[in-house]
Amino acid sequence: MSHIIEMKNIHKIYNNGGEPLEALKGVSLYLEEGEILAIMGSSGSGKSTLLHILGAMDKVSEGEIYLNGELRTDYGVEPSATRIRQENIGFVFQSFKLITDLSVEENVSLPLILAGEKRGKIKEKTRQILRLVGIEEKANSSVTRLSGGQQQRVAIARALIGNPKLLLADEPTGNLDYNTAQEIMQLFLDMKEQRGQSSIIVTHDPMIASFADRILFLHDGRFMGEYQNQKGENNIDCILEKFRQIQKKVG
Amino acid sequence: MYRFGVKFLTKSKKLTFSCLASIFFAVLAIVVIYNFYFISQRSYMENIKDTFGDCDYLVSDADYQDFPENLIENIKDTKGAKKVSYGHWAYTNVEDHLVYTVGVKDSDMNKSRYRYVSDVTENRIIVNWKLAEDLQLDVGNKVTMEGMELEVSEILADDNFSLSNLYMVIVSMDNLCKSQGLDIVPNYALVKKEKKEGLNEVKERLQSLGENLDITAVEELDDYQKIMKGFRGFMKILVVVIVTVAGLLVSSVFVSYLKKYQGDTIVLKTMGARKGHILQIFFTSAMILSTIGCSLGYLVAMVGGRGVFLLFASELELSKEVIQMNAGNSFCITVGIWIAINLFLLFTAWRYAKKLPLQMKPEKTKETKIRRWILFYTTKKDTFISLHLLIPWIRENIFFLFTIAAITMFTFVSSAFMHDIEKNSLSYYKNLYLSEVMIENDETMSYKDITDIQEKLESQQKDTFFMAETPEWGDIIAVGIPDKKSKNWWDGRGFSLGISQMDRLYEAKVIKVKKESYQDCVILRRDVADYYGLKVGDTYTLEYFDKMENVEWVEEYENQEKHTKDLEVVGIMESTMYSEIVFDITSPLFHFSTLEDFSVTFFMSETDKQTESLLQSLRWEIPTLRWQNYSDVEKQNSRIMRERYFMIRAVLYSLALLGGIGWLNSAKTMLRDKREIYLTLRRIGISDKRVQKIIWKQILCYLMFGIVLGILFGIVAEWFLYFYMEEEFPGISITPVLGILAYMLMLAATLWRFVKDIPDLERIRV
Repeated sequence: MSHIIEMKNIHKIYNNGGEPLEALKGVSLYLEEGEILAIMGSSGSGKSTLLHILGAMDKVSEGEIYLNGELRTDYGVEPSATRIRQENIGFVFQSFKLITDLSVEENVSLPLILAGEKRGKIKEKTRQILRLVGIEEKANSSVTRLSGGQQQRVAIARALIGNPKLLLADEPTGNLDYNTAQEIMQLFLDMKEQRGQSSIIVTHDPMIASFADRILFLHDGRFMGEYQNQKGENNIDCILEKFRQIQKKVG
Repeated sequence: MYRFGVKFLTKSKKLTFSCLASIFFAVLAIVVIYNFYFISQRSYMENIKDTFGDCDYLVSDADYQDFPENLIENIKDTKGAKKVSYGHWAYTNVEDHLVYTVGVKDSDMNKSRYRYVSDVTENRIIVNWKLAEDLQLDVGNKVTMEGMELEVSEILADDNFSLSNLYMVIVSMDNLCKSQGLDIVPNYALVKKEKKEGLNEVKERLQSLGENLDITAVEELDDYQKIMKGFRGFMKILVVVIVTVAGLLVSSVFVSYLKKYQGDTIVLKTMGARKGHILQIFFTSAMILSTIGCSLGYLVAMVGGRGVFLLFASELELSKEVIQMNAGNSFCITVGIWIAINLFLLFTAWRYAKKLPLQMKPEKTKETKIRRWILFYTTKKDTFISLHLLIPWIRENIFFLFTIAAITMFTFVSSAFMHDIEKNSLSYYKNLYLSEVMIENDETMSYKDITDIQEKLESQQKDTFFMAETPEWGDIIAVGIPDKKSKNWWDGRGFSLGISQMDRLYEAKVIKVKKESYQDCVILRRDVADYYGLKVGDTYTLEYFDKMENVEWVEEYENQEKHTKDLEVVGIMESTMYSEIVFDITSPLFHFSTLEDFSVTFFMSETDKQTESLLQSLRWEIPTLRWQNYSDVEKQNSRIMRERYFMIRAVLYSLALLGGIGWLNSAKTMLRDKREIYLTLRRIGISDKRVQKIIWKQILCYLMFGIVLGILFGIVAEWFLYFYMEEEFPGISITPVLGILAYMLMLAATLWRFVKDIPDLERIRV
């Protein structure tokens, strides 16, 4: 299977008020086509930094990134980064990040408008994706009138409308209740089944991670372990156990 | 992308309204002030025309002779001369009073020059109010002028002659010439030029009609130039105030608008939006806001401006006839503002568009840590919380606070500055008026005549003194101090020498040094004293030559026998209207009897009826004698200053009104944004009242920040102005800022309900 994205020995150093802060210390990962990868880690482990780099929103201090098998030295470097984001990546945020002054349909259609698609096509694709995420009837509503789950569906629809190769989700259920979180994660699985969508989900919640094919554990800027989800097992407990082991290992 | 720009505008009604209002007001204020500038200029021209007539040139003979035959015809035929009026002036005896008499050929120009309205027919006479008052005249009364009985047909109410205590009447030219036994010929003409013709070209053509002709162009008059210069300076200050404050206001509101959508632009960038996309959105908004704001501002200024000027015409000293808005130029200015606003908004939007999505922000910087440490240890805990929450907000809303600061600063500075301008303007007259009453004569006099008049005046007013100066330097010449000779610009042409009675100058407190005899004393003019670095009490060495009648300038001094005399400097005169060096009349250096051409000014502390009548009777000998009181000048000056100050205040308070509303909105937004924090404070057990107290502290600090900053800027600006002008620092007066402070406090008070509701947990839960 080919890799959608591959990172090798990534380092990221921030200049924090004059003091260098190494947020990532030689991280390597890959994502296969149609795979859901979860990255777990506690606060300050480097999850957000890794997400920024994966999302071409920040450049690496050291290391290599391959996108669709091609080495991209301009990954995270403007203006190429904008094109990479537009053509290859969809984002889902914990706080949805919807534009409250726009309607559901307008929010979802934004990536296509930015890509310069024709109006007819935008309309058609928007309706399709809204149907897919199950909120077609809310197309003309204001996003502020939707529930949290519905808002996250809008955000997912917006992330998927441009057919991105990679879907990045940052704690996508962090603002949702248990049942709605389950529904949203099921949506990720549906997208994988129906569209072969590859996703990376950053989370600290074992329940969310249990929906992934593979889990990477991040601690202090390094991957400390990996867990392959098995069908039929009580994945949540296994994930928790693995997580505890790692915690113990690092003290 | 464009439609998102529109959508953002329609969704943020309050912000859109604030942006529109600030652009509208900026355009309105600038266009109105621009038009006011030209209307005032034209009004002033009209006032000048009231004095000199609705004419461009005054033509007379330099020696007051009658015009030669055909001169009027030649003036009429001069290229560029549109209209010509003429008449004859002379001094006549009206009821035993020497009166300046104008014999006119009725015309609009003559009427506007002498401010009369009725026609002057065969047996009619028009008198000015001064004469009417002194002779107890009313319309319909008979008066005798040089044996001719005439009927008073009109009394001039606001003529300039009366202000200088001069009697004046207007009769027909025929009557005047007949009464004088002269041929009926004019001796003055008023000329109006074609609009397209240049002022100098027509003047030169008129001058070519006769070498001895004295042509005065109204626009070139010193008085006109001086007042226009002052007026232009004042308008520049006003424009700086408006452009700065309006610019800051527009900037601050638009920055708030950008800030509101900053989060959304970040999301857009995350989804792959380029800078161009973000700019498209904000450019659309900027175009709509600026176009609507500028159009409305322009239209309201055009429609309402004229009405406002007409309404306040008397307060602003505007001539109603000239109140016309200049639509073309105003439109160009509006377009200029429109371009400037769009460029600014685009530039600001570009800075926001550059921001990258979801960047990790560096944690607390050293600066933040230091600030937090200082606040923690120097303030009470509640104040610490207030300030700690407020400071980031202040940083984000710095434009708003600068707007308030700018308004405060201008209010602060303009008050002191206008006060200073008034003081300076008055000090010009104060330096000129060595005593309350100044009596001048346009003609030169002999020393003997001066002492004769002095004696007469002294008999009425004991403190009368005079200041006389002579351009004659035949008997004595001062050439300055030898060691500074190389730089001495007075070398070779002599000083303008003056004489005065120094003991009287001492009594009038013009000089401060008491002496038994002032024979060996001298008063220097300020520029001379500064040039030589001399002050009161120092010794000035005068160099002079005897009898220089045949000496031609500096080269020939060298061969002359030179004398020197040490003189004590007893006073320094500020006004450049007087001589560079003034001696006491007792000085043996002068041979006054040989000097004929003295320009003289008499001074006295007051005039009573007897003095007035004496002065009027002196007119028989000196018809050009005129006098005026300093208090009248002061009143006139204060009136002009009050009008200008009124304008500045009106503009500043209007800006303050708008800036205050902007501040209120930003304060409300701040409170809304921080509501969660206040609720958290409540949740962790801080009482409702205490949270409200914290909020009020924040509001008051936010309010005071702009005002205190403005006062500080004001002090620096004032200090700079005074340092630059080399004057004394006037001290600080907070009074002018109190109005703004009161208004801001009033606005803050309107947040009472809002503040009360914010930490109400019950309410939030519902």
